[in-house]
Amino acid sequence: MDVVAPGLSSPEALVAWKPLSGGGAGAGGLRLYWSDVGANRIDTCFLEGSGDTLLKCGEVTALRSDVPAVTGLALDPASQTLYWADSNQMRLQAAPLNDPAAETTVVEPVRLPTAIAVQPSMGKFSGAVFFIDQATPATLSKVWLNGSGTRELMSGGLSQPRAAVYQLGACYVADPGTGSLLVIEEHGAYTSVLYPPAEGPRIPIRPRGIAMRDDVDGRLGSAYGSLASAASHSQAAHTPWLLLALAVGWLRGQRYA
Amino acid sequence: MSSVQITDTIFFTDDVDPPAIRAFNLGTRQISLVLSYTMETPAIREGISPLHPDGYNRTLRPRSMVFVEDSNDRAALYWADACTHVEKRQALIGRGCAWAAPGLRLAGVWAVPG
Repeated sequence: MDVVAPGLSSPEALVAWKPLSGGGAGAGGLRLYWSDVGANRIDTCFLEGSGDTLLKCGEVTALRSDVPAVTGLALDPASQTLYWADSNQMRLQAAPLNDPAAETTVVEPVRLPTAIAVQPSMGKFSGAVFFIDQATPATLSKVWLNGSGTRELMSGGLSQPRAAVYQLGACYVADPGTGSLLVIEEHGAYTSVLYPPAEGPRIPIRPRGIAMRDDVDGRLGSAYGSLASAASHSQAAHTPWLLLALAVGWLRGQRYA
Repeated sequence: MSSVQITDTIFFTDDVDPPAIRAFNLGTRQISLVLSYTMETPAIREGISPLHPDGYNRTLRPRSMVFVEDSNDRAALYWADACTHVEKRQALIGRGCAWAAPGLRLAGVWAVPG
């Protein structure tokens, strides 16, 4: 284990970005951004290293040094915009990476924002920011970046949600209050508890941060689960109609036999 | 080094005692332990005192985490540990922790008091 970035106060939120082009040290490499709530900063560093050595932080620089209580960070690589949740000012903020002082307010008020995740813009489709408001009752909402509004996606079933990640049409949430991992379809069409299972063995967890590869897709299992559940419910509800249809078909077959 | 699957897997920091990094597999719906760390973990023990100067015990608090892969297909987890109620002197610390899927390696980096 090695020290890679000394001098931090109380690091809280963390995001990574891989610049694909551009000049400067580290272009094409990996960059980390994190909030340091003890120092009122958002810091960044390039990860340096080669071969089999673990990548370590190079020079740490402050992107912002006037932002207390940044409890959530997210980054849109397409627009190169950094988003953060400011629980002190009760709002979500955004600023371009090349001009971090040029902040704009994405949405306010948010009583107790604790985590955010970015859905990047795709062509004519507006991007969005998912955000958790931990004020009672805790909620997961989505604000579109084209100004078309805010929508609450989930309100029940959350206790102290503290982490959110957007990927492949879904938002993943970690809730240490309920000890659960959840996936919420990007429009709120369905919500599924990934863990703990409804039955069977389980271990108590208090998840605070979540991360995954870019190609991880938790929607399939969830969708199958939802569909299976819906199918069983549907089958039970429609069994009389199904039997009637089969009977009609049999009678028709008898008539033409 | 133990093997950790990184496909179809959601990693998460687990704010329990001792703090842990766990992996949830979407296929099996099972959770496995990647690693745990305490004040007695060598790098932490070497870097800091288990006691706050005022006599309080330090408490490790794993927080946000990211998964990254570099241009050499090296995979790593980075996470922050925001120890609460300690003096303002902390650090990012890194440690290789596990081998992952074929051709990919999984390492860990986290922030702890320095």
